[in-house]
Amino acid sequence: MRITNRMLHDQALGNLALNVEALSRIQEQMATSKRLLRPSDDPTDVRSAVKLSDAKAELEQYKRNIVNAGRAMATAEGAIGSAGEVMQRARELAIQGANGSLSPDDRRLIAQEVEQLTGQLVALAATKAGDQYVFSGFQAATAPYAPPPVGTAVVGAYLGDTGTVVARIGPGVQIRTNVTADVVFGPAFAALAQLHGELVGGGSASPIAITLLDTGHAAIIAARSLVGARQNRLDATAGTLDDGLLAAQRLLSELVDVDLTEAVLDLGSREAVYQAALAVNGRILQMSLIDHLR
Amino acid sequence: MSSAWFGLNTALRGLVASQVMIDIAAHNTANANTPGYSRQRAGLVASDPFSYPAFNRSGLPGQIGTGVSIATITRVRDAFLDLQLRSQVSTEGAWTTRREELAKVEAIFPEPDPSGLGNVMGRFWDAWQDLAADPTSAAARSAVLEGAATLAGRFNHDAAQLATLTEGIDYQVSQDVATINDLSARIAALNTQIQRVRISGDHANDLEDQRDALLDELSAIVPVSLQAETDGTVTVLIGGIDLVSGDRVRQLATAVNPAGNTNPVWSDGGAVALGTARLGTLVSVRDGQLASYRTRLDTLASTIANAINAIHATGFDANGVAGGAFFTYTAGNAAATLAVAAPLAADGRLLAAAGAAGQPGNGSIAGAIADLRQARLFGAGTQTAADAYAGLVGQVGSDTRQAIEMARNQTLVTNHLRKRRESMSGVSLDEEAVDMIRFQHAYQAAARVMSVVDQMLDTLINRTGIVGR
Repeated sequence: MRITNRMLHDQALGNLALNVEALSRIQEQMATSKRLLRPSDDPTDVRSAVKLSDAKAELEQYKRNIVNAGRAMATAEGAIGSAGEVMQRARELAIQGANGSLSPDDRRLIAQEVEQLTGQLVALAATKAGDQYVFSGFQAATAPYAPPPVGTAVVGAYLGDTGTVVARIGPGVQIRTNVTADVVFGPAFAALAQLHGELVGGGSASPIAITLLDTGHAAIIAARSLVGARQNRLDATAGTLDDGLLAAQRLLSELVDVDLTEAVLDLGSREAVYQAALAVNGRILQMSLIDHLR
Repeated sequence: MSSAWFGLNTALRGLVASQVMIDIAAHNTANANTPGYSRQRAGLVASDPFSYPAFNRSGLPGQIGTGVSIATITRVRDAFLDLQLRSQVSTEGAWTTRREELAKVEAIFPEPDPSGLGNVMGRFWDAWQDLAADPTSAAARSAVLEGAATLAGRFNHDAAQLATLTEGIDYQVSQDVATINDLSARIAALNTQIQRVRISGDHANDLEDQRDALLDELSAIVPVSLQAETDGTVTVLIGGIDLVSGDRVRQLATAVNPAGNTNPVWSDGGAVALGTARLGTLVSVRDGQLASYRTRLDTLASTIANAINAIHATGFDANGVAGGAFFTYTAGNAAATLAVAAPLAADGRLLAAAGAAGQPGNGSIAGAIADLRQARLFGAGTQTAADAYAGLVGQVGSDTRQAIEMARNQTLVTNHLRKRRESMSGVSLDEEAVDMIRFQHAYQAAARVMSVVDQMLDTLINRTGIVGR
């Protein structure tokens, strides 16, 4: 083939440009530590990366939902636990009040404490997580019970509703996070009102009151184990989510992140090629017959 | 017998020929880097020989040479290579244009970077989940509205960018039409000049080079076919219609199509066969890819908006009033006009998160909207919003990738042909240097012949017949 000077120059320029382009790509990848910087870098992988990062973001959100739900449940569990203690104290008082040797005044004193316990229980039912009353169902802005009038232990009607508050803890997976006060505290209030009513008149506590107290306590214990079981489920789901998140993170990193070792090696070889091209062009382009003619 | 002065004339022809050859080498050397220049070569022929006049020629030598003359000065050029190259240049123009335009589209969808629409959409759904978990929280309400405004803003931005690209292509189309008109006017002018030179029997080498360079330039914009006429002019045809014929030019103009975009037309309003080159690609990228991306973006925006609006309307806001529209948009232009409904944007309490009136802790509607993230609203019930968006990004990516690869391959092909043309027509400085030496020596030798004849004549004229002087 007949080779002209311009062909040599064009070829030199073209090859240098290719080398510089490859170097700039490596520079870009190493500077950002990303293998994929635009959709055309690898359309299939970018497509997968877009979906995967959405899936990962979703898992993170479920994780956040679990943490939020866990916090609300822990608050509820704490309140229910305290309510259990209140009921134990109420039962002790009931046993005391059933003792026939007590004077009516003593019984009235006990009745006062029952009234206090009722107040405590009303306060516990009005526990809030953030701004929300946790035991009011959907009536999150309303305390479930109004405190009883002074001198009585008769708590008014449940002011909340039976709303089922749920948390989304996985794709299509929901878990109920609330228990309502009418279920948890309702029987206890009935028992306390009965006990108070018996004692405040100076009479002794009846076995009916004690049975009612036991029923009320049982409702509280049942709610506590229900909440505990839900918490266990949350914890288990959180573990699964963590595994999923880790896997998604690893896959995403494999898709998107640059393999630094490979990039450094690539840089080395590209650099060597570029240097060689520069050296070769520097020598060849200078040669001319003109230099040798006198 | 020939004249005594005969040899002088023969030597003179040698001198003149060598001088012309040196001039050609000088011209070639001077134009070694001129784009489109083809090296020129002189056709040297022995000039017409001279027969000895004689009564009986049988024993005598026949004819005697009279020296050299220059028959032609032509350019070294392969017309077939030009033809091949121009068709490849058209294809190269098509793919490089497609690559450039799609690279601009790609920048609108900077995936997998977190600044892209994908991530914005994800954060929007997240905000709904947070609201579902805590519907009484004013902060969660404003987070949803903020996420929605950001999402709508991102859709608006992407649609506006696509619209800007469309306008940019319209501008380039009108620029290209102007360039074609300019090139064809210059080709017609060269046709006239070349025709004049041809009439006098010469080759218009340099003018033809200029015309070929213009034809190369034209081919990158629109594929042309050429007819070489006997008078040295070329007829340039686009889709069988003559753009340039002799010194006449048929102008191109632009027309606005029903979609409001600029298209090239003949000056009489007829459609131009744009074929596969730069101009045709501009139009096809604009009406094909850009329009389809725009439609997909619109579908994404309107489908999400409709699905959310449908659920939102069944809910109740913090005041216990039934929910209105969440998003608003103009049909047919959804991505560009998507916005959070005005009353909502001003008051987060109007967000209908609850499934029933008077239940501030009820986040079931917010939850149902958050669940739309998983809903297969697209692709006839096969794709979620994220899938549909990933599909769009994948499409942009693979279209761009294809254009990048095709442009690279096509550039290799045209470079190869350019190299072959340069190999044939390009100036080699070494070659010209050798020619210069060759003809310098030829010139010196011819001058020496002249001296010899001169000395012979000197002997004859000045030193003969002077015996006994």
